[in-house]
Amino acid sequence: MTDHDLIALLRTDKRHKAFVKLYKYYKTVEKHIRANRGSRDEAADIFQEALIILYRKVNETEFVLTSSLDTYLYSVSKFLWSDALRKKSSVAALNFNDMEQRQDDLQVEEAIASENKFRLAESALAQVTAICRQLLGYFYIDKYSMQEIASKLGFSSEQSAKTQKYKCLEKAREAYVQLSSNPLTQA
Amino acid sequence: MRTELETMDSITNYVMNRMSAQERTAFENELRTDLKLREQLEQQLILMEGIKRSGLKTEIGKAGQAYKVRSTTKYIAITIAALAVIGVAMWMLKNQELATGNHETAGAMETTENTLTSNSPANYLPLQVFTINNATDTIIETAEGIVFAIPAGTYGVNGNVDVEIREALHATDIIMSGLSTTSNGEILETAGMFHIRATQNGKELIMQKTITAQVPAEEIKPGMQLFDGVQNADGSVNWINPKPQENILNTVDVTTLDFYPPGYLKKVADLGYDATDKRFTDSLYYSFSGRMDKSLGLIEPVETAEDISDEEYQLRFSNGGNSASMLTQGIALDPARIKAIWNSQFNNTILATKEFEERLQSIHEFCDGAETSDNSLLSFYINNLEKNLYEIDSLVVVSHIGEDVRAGQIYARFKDFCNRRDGKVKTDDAQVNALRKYYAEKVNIYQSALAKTQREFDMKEEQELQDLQKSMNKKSSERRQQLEAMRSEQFMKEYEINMDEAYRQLGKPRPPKSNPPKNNYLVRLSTSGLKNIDAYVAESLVKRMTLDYTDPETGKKAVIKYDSLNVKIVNESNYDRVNIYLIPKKLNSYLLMYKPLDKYIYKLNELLDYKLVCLAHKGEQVFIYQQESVSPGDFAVSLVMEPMKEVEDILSGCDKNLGSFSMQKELELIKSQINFDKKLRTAQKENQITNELWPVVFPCLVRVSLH
Repeated sequence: MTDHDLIALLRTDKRHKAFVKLYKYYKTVEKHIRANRGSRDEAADIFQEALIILYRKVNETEFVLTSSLDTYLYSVSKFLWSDALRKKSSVAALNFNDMEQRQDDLQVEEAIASENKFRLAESALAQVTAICRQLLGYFYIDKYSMQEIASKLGFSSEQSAKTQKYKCLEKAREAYVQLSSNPLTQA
Repeated sequence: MRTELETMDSITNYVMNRMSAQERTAFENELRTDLKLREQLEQQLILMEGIKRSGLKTEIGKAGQAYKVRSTTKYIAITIAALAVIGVAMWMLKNQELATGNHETAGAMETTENTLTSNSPANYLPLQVFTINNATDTIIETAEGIVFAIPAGTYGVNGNVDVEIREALHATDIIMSGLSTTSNGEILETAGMFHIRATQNGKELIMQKTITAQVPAEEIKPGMQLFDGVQNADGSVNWINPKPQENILNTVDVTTLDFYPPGYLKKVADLGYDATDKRFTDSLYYSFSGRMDKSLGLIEPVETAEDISDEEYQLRFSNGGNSASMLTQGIALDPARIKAIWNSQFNNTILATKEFEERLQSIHEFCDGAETSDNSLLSFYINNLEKNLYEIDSLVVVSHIGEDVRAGQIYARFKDFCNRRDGKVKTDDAQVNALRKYYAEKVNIYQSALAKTQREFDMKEEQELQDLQKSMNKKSSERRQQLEAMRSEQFMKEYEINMDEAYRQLGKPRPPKSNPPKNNYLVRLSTSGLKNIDAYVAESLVKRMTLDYTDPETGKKAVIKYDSLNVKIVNESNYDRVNIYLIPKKLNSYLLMYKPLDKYIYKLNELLDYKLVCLAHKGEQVFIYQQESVSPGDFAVSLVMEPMKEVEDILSGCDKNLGSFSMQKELELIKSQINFDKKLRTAQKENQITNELWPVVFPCLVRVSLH
């Protein structure tokens, strides 16, 4: 599968397949993270983040592939891990020396910055109830109508589902605002 | 003012793209001025992405899991099985092996109802029905290429039987039909699945014999197993009861395999021998068993020929041995051990397989242990004929976990072999035991026999060479004696001739009792009187210098001239040996010209008539030249090749002037020299072939060679 096939696949509901294929680049990333004081688990997390970022990038309308996918994933992983290291300690000496500073590094850093916000939102959502998360997922991701959501989640009416959604969103938003104002949770 | 709820709805509608163009423009205008609205919008967008993240993470997590499962191969299995409880055993094969039909595995038999439940995902697979006659052996091939061999009587009924088959060999079929590839929650990698059942008149039949199925596969993956499928109540399938695949190996006639060290046949051909004559290549190869020094081990390839002096070489390699300090582990594979297994006795064993042939190449390459050592690679295979090749490979692997390079190489190579999961050849215990005994007996017999043969051969060669040398020495000494006898006779006769001539020139009668000196060292030149003339003649003769004597009484002179003959042989270096003779006819003998520098010289006595004979040989070719009555001066001789018979005749002709002496002695010496040279060359050639083949026959040994 070429990079273009993979990108096309990432834009469909068969993105799962693309993710499996993209995992072939994991070993390299793992190797470098472990060579830079990281654990296997940390490497797995970093690579997962990199895949999420790639996925978002690919689904942006203006997305143009400026490097090969493995280079992109590698580059994103590098920045993610350098961020993580910075958080872990004040020393941020990284030794991804075989990696040239690339022109799209800036883009990568931007992408990582927004992803950090999204990750914060994810944490915020973790603070709301499971039913809230399900409701919001049905609404925003699956794009079900309020009526469908009401019947799926067992609300008495469409209106009560709507109210519930409002409450859930409000709670999540509050949690997010709180998290983002706390310097400890900031990236 | 809107309520909070209304605000949030607007935002939601905006981000969900549910606004009309008009509403949208109005909202966007609002956004420009309303900071709080903008902030809320941003927060909602971020939250939406946060929601998406959860889903994405789950998905990517699964992908990572699938990747992990694949990469560790821990749970890799083949989920080929009948979809019901019945377990139809099968074997997966490479496509090209389908035709051979040699692979089969036994199947289990169950009496349980074998109908697919209505909610089974397998129902989505197209049904293929084959009507077969239960009375005959039948081969059927499905649309996807699974080949079933159904023996006569499998279904225990008379007449025709309908065999229903559903198959899912490709990922798309498996996914489309919704068949799972999980076994108790673990994800399996599948090489395909199928369901088989048979009916007669709508009534399900029970299998009473084993059906063999060959499932095509692009590549054989290690660790594939056969699973039985169990239908859950919801129609999904759990794959249970994995059975490792038995890979039955194809055997061939063992003598058609190549058990020689890698590159041996090519080297034999390169040396100009017939590498297609197995009897010859065998005997040549096995001869190395006798040549191999049992103490010869792996030589560290640290030194090259340039690094080692001749003396050192002699020290290390004289008598074929080498110093113990150069030994490490491993002993080159004794050709006698190959001889013991490379015969039809081992047909129909794992040794008679292409798979074993490959392993043997590596054993040659890495050096084997001693026959009796625990680490003899070959012994692992010979001692475990009943086992799967991959099991034996794994024994090799675990016994070579070590630090040194050789162990590391063996470990890696045989791990690769092991991963191929090459199976076994069906052999019964009695056969295996008999073969083991056979091998143990034969290897000893061959080892001692080959060593004895080689020893005897070497001794015979040595003896022959010695005999030839003896004979040559004898001829040489006979010839020397003759030459010496002729020399003293020549001296006497020439002295007489010179004396007669000197007295004639002086006009005096020669005293009757003139004693010629017994030999040249006894000549004394300090005496005076009449004897003086004798002494001068003797001195002139010994020195072969012109006599120029004036009689003090009469003033008369006596002059006998000696003058040099210089012979040069054209292209002398082309010949192995060159001898140049002069035959002074009056003296009834011949003499050997000698060569102090680049020319053969002799001082001719003007009173004598000399015949020049040149004799030479190059290998077995004999060259000759003769010239009557040579005179002093420089002489270049071009030799002419003649048949031995012709040379004999020419020399017989010369003998007519020689009285009791004979030039045949010269020829006899040359003949014995030729024979010795010939034998020596053969021995040297054999030695050279041994040296050339040595590194090929024992590739694990690095031998220092001299040039």
